[in-house]
Amino acid sequence: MDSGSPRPKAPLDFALNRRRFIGTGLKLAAVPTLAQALGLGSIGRAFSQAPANDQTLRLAFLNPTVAFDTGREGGTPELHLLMFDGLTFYNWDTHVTEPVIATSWDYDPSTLTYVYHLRDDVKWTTGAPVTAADFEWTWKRNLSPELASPNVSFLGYIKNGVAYNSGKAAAADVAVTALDDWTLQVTMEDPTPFFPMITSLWPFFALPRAVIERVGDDKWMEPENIQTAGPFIFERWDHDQQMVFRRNDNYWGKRPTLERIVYRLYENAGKQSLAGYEADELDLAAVPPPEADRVLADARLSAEVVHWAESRNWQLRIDHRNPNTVLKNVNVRKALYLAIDRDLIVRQLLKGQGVPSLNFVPPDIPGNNPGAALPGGATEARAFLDAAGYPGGKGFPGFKLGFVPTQAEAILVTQAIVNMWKDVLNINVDLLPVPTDWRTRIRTEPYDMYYGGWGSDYLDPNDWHNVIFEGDYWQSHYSDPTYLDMIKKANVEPDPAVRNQKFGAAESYLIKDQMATIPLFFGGTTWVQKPWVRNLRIAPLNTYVDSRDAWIGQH
Amino acid sequence: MAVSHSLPAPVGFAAPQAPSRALARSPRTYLGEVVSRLRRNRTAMVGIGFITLLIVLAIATPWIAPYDYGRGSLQDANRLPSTAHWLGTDALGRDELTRLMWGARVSLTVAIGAQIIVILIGVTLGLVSGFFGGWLDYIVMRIVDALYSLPSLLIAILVMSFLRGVLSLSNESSVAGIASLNTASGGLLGVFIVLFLTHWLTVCRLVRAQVMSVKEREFVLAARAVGARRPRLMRIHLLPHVLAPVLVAITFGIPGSISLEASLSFLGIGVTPPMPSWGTMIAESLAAMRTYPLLLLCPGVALSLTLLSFIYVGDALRDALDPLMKR
Amino acid sequence: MLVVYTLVFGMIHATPGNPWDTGDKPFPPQVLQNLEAKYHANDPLWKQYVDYLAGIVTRFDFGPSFKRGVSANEVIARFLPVSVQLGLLAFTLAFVAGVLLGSLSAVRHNTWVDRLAMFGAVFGISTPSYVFITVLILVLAVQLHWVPTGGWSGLFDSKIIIPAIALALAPTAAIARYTRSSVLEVLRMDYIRTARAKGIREWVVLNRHSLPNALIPVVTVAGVALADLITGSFFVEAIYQVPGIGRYFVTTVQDKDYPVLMAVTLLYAAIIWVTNFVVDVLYAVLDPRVRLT
Repeated sequence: MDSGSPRPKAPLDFALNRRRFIGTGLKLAAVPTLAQALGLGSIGRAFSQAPANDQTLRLAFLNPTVAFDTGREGGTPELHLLMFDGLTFYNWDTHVTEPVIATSWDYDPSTLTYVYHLRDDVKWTTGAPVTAADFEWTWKRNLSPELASPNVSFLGYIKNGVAYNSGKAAAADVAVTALDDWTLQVTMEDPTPFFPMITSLWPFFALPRAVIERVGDDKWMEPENIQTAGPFIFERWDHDQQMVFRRNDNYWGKRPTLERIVYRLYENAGKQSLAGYEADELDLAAVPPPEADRVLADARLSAEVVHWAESRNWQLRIDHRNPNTVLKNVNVRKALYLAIDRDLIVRQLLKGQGVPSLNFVPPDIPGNNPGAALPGGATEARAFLDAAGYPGGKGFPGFKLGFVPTQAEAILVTQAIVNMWKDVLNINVDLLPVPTDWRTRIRTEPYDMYYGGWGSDYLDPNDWHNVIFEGDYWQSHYSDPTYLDMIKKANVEPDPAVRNQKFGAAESYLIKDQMATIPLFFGGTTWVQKPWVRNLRIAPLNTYVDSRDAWIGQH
Repeated sequence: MAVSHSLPAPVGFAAPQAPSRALARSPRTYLGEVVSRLRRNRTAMVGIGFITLLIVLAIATPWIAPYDYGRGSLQDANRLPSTAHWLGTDALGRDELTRLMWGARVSLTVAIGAQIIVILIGVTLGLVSGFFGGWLDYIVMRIVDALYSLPSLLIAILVMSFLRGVLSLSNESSVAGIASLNTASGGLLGVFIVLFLTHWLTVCRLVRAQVMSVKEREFVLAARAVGARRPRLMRIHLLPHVLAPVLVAITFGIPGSISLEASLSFLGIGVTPPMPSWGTMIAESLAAMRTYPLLLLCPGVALSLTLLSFIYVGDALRDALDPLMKR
Repeated sequence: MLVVYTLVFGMIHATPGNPWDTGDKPFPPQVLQNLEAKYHANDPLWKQYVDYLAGIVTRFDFGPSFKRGVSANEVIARFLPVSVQLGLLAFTLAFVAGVLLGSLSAVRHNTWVDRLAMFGAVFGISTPSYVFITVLILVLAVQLHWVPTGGWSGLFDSKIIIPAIALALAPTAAIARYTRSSVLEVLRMDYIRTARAKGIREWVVLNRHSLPNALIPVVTVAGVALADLITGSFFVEAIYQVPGIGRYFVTTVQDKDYPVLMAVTLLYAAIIWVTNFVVDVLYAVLDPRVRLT
């Protein structure tokens, strides 16, 4: 998924009708994630293990716009997971799709049909039970053309889902049916064995039909209207100021220890929340790189620092369809790749929030291949530039490097990179702050290169290869037939080990051979967390705060 | 009995007396009088001195700046002042002093350039509108009124977005010379247009008010009676009276322009990096203010001092040009 | 007002790009089509112009906000009151402080009080608000813990202190300067000299004879300041998390939220008109000479 704070993250777009996700890549061997490795180490001072009396957690919400109509918006899993549950839950540590509201599910490959068996003790806040009919209604509602939801890409796997959304079929044609109160039947458009994993995503959460039908799509999220079925209830919303969630004491599942979660809303939480934290108004705050030096030098703050890795890579994306750009020469691309001193950028600019990335796929994705890196340094970079026909940078026509000014550290990182290219290769590159309609324009207009980030939506290599390049999600227009063939074949490979290997080979071809994109660094975030907050996790996927299991120790 | 005169608005709308009167009163010329008054105001002289220094520095920057404003090594980031870098380095290792000088260049170019356009259009329109009156005046004034009630920051951002949207994304040339002009000036073209759009209104109104108050005066009627044609009338007889408040308005308009440009750059839609502007420098250093306060102080103080100087000079100019302030 | 509407409409539609594709994930084309149909973005331009205008004029309906999921009217209804409250408070602060400072300076003309005050005033105008409020937050909230670092809890809460001060800085300076020069002018007037000659106490001379007359030109400045303050400042509101309408002046352009943009712009224009009108009326009330003309 594309990165860019402070925008809310839009969901994945699987290019429909194109791919065959037949892989069994779901139950893969458990790979320890970076999050697990680095996560909880730095917390845990000498504080009592007993829970405090006041179980209120104070957080900063990372996006300025709050949108949790899971049907209509890209959404933030952070709030959805507080208020709702899905049929399933994808555990990123164990790579297992766990049952939640659905206790089990059966799959019939001949009819491409799933049958989900639901629990019978999940209740809305009114006390009414959550039934299969709720799911059926919600999925159809999210697919309706009037709603114009961007989440159609997820729901489109359902048979006739896309047809209904385009107006070519009726709602009744969409192949999801509640057979009875606790049984839900869904038929796929194409073989989709990973569907249970996707039902853990928020477009599939059941929404309160009665409320939406009563007050409409715009108002049902207001606290006085909303009904939820998750571990927390939405208690209060002071618009643009704060949101308060209260524990749901009638929750069927594990009862949270936290009583309340208070979210402060900021225009740019990444940069502003630290002041609130230092004034003891927040329990968790992100440390933006410019402040990192001071925080690490401070005796009290440095003891409260926590690092979490993200399943994310920042890279330079290239337009492969542009016939006039100097970047169409692979030697030029390799030279640019080698001339960047990633260690220096990570250390000095990002202050350790990140890991240099020489290959492309993050280390917590199975099938990632560190061997895909192209070895070499400044000398080799210059050699490649010579081979490209611009010895010593002479005659290099230059190009434009686009960046989004509001994206985290984009301004500084791109300037640093341009300087490095100048130092090592003696070439001039112009910086281009992109216009707001950038993504629309690059679908048709030629460009040279731009700086972007991509985070995993789930831990499978096809989220990195097939989704990006088959679906042309970056508008890179990269259509190398060898590569596309490799990833298509890898995706349908039934044996997990061989599948990983095939993806690894594809990655090597992509980077070492073709340098289709220039990876820069893997994501990482630094936070400060009050020492009495326990069990708070930052998910590596979508980087959201998971506070369902958190609790406050005595202090 | 003292000569009764109407209470003048203390904001520079004072109608200067006709030159003939001043001549009759003292042996010096009007200009000489103004200059001598200015000279007596010490703060104004300091202000003028500072501004001159700034202008000289700004013009000479490409030759005397010690480093390249865009280049720096990350290893040298955030250094304190030393003999190599008199004001230290910024987060990317670039020399702060150089960037400050280029920032001065940007700010001054933009502000003064915009004011020039403001004069050209604002004065002309004001003259014409005030002089001819009638429906021409009515239309112009309605437009000015309408534009006056637009929030300037919003319009500025709209215009910048529009400009950015029109330019090309790749290295090829697009909308004729506009794109190359824009890149060459480091994204300043947009800022120019925005500044000009927001500032000519005041001047226009000012000029119009002046013209309307002066055009019924005796010497104008006399000139007309002699048969002077309209353009000559406007140029020779009306213009000098109009110039004084215009000059003051411009001197006050410059700090406004510099502020607006700094705000735009602060929001990230001003000049294109790596071209520095005091606004971008403030934006970049605001977050790390507690760690590296010097990086915020340099552009902040420079900005404040410049604005201060212009305002003080504007004050002094207005006082000097006001014929009612005897002695 | 029509001119304003036309201008803004023109600029909005001249800018390329649509409001929904501003995220990092491009939308599938089908979704875009649905969205455009829903918001009538595909109608010919003149039709959109007329329809929207009709909506505004007849029903005061500015349409739905593209980003927030509620109507533009609601956005304004929710956030304008906050800005107005904060603005009024800041205005009162600025007016009182400005007039006091200005008259003090004028009376103590050319003494150190005058110089210091005027230097402070000019400094107040030259410091960008975003710098000032950041410093205020760091000093008062984070270091000294006197006030919270952000938010809004109504007029009678300590959260209002920092934004009010930050907002009031520039207007105070401007009002102080104008008051000073105006009072200086008035103090030179003959009737003041007469009053003094008559033996009236200086204090009364100041308050009853000079100040009201001096304030007349100040009213114009104060009017402009009031209009600006009521509509809120983007920087102050964004940095201190005040849920006001000022932020929308910037964010609506970046988000391409056209209905709210239009609503906000027209609102601003309306406020300026009203304040101008009020200022004109005040002029007539305060200055008898105007009444006679």
